[in-house]
Amino acid sequence: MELPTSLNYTASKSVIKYKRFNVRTLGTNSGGAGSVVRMRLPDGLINLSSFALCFDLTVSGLVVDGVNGVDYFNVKLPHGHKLLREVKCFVNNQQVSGKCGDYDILYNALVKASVGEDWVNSRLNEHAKELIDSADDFGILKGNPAATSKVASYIVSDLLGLFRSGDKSIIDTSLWGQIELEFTFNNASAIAQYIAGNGSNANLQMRFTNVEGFVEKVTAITPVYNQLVNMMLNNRKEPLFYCYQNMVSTVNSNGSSARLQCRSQSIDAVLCCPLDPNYNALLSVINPDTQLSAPRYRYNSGRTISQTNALSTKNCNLQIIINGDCYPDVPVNNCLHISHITTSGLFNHSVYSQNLLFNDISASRYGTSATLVTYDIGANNLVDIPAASAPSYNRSAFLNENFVWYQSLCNGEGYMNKVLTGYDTEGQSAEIIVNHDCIVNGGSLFVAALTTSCLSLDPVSKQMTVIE
Amino acid sequence: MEVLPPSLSYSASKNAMRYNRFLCRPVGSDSANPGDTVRINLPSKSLVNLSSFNLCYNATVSGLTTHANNNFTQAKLPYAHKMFSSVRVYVGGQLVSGGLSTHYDILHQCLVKSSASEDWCRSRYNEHAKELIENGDDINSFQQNVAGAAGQLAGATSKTARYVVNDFLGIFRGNGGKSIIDTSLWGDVAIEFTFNSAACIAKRSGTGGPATVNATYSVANIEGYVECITQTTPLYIKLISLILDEKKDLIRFPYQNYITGTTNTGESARLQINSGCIDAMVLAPLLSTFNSVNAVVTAGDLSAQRYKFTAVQSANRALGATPTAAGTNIQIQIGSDTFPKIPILNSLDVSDITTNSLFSNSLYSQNLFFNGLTGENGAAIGDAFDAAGIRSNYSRQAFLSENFVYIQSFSDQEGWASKNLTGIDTASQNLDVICNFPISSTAGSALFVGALVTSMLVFDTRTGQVSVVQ
Repeated sequence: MELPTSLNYTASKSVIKYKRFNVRTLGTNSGGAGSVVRMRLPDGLINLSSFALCFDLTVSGLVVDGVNGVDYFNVKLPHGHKLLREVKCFVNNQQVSGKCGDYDILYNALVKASVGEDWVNSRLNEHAKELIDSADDFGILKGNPAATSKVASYIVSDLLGLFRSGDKSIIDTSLWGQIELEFTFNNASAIAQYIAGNGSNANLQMRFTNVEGFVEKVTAITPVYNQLVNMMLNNRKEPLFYCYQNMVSTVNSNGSSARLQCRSQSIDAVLCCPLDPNYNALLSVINPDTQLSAPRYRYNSGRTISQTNALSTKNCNLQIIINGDCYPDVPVNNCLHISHITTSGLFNHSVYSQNLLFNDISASRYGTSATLVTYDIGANNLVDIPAASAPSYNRSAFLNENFVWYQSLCNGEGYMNKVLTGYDTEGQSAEIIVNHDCIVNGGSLFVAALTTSCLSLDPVSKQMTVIE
Repeated sequence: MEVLPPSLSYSASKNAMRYNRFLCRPVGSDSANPGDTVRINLPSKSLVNLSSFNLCYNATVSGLTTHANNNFTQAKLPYAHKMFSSVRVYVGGQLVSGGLSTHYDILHQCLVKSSASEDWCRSRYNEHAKELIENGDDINSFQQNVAGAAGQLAGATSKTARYVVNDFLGIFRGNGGKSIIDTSLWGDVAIEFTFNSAACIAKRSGTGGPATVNATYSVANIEGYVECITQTTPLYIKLISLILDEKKDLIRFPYQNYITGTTNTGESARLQINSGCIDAMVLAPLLSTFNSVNAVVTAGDLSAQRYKFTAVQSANRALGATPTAAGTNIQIQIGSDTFPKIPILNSLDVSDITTNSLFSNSLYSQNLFFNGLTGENGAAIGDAFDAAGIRSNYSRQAFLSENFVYIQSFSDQEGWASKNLTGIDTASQNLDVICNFPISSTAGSALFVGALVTSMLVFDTRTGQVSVVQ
């Protein structure tokens, strides 16, 4: 029998103080599409979860029609994570996370599968607004832009990879080694574009400037921590482990027996989404009345909802095979079931779970450029406030825009509770085979594995190794 | 070492703990006006679940005027927590929480803007949270001309609504979760509410109407409700008896506390704190009209002037051609320590620090930082009445113009929540917390400075005395 926590009158005292530090890039702090920046984090106890990447993005090459307002070209400032093609983490000069060449697609798929409108509206410094609106902070996509370029500050946090370990990913660099981060910026395929009349997007350019990072460092810690670490290093024979999230991904040219090679002690989940034939095109446009995302982030299953024929979503054949094990046990026959599998895999049907799987934009209530109004917010500051646009929710949106399949293989991602229950490939490379015929003609299939990796430190030899 | 996943650990324990809800009447009058104080004593010799306490009353906003044309005044029923300038709690006759704060409403509003969402507001209509995100309240729109309205609203110059208010700051949050306090051990609990001035009400005036509005409010039928434990496990009694008989140990009850102040400068603004655990600082710039009881809302704003937290760098340069808002210089100094390590140079960074401080970048974190209003199809909201289509809108500009709240955490999490105090210890000295935070140069502008701390009730089993460790 135990005493309820609320009747247990106790309190302990401890010391753990944080402070936010500025991290500069190694080398240049600016670049264009596809450029790479690298940062070295400070030594000490670093709260990696707190890391924020800040930069200014300039998108130029917009076309303004100042005469008739009919021949123009406009873009939406993309969500911050879409601007990152790769995020690599290095500890002790070893790459420990980020073998994922399409980080932006993975992140966007997870966002669609796990957040709600309130989440988006709480993250406008990451420019998440464009995820649910045919507009950005400066105006609607369908409107004639006010200038030929847009500039905005970005603050991007909550990154995937080594940044996630338990509640807070605090890593001791004196134990594990120096940490470096490498970011590869995305190209114009990340941007939702719209051309009206005879406008042209041929001169679209991106420029990243003032790139810098901020991270919290523990500046004071209880002596118990140091004592414990010393004790472990002096007396312990077994290695120390630091569990963290990792991911690997690939894009297959079709969905039939798509393969991903993965070697991990804990494959926690597999994520698949069908990609548009133009997912890599730099200059693809969208219809802002009916489409929210650039082609790169439109996950179209090619299936449709029919009022008269329930078979229109059936007879698909979705299954993942790892070393002869099938997930689910029988192939998914009805592609609408994927939303259920995804939310169940991520949230175990929690009452608090949310998603944007059914979200798109309502054409009927969506405003036109004619309704755009310049709003004086005082002190000669003019902004174009978006016209009335209404997020819409329907099952077709899931099939045509947000078809994300998250197949959990275990009790939960291992890095969260430090209990690894995922699929162990036992030191071998295993092939994850995905049968997925829900893609459009000419489309591709994005396959990613979310895994839990560990840094391992041998207290005797003091050597650090990475257990993938 | 291999461990069993929790979902495969088949176990259950059994325990007895029954609750019931009790009515508490105010001591003295059960009605009040702005500035009045009402005191409520909670049940004696009981295990009282302070977290469950709710205060109920009827509030009437009066002094509105009607007019056939635009020359009218209107007001929104204020969000409940805005109606208190202080909430003080006494245990055993000692003032234990809220004693050093006369800006409870501003602190609460800062925390709401930093951590709530539309869904949160819509789930709390009995606290009239609707006005936090909408251009109106439960009764009518902020733009409605009641002169021409039908039914009860026609020509109404006042509005009345029932309030059910809970989730207060202070000792209502303690001991790791439910703040259950044994009044036979710690002493009787009394709560004292001081009602705010009419500055808490969002008021407006139509075209040609008065520049200021004398709307005010009154409350009546005040009563409180609290849960008490009517049956608990004998283990609790045994454990307490054992500790008391041994006369060796101290019994501790950690709880949330707060200290607030306003300064008329943002340069080296100071707040004196004496606490064993400062968990976080809360800063927000206040307009020169924040104390004005009859100031009207700026057309298009959600909040009354008192709750409009406008960054000095709210100008478009933060969003436009020069994204780095030069001139921002925000930093907190405690002793020789500075937080953050280098000053914040871009106002927009503040939202990231605040959400990181509160939620450590959790997926589930939400806020109303970017929330504002827009008219139909993006039109500006003027002072006309019966304007259609005014709705919630999210923009970074709203963060700079209305919701600029900076929360700097110093610890792993609030000490009372984990029962592990990791915040800054002032070592029983009064410590100056020095804040650099640019505020408007308009005379009367101010900086709100609040500190969230963890205090403790300590019961000495040798002497039987209860003391308060700030």
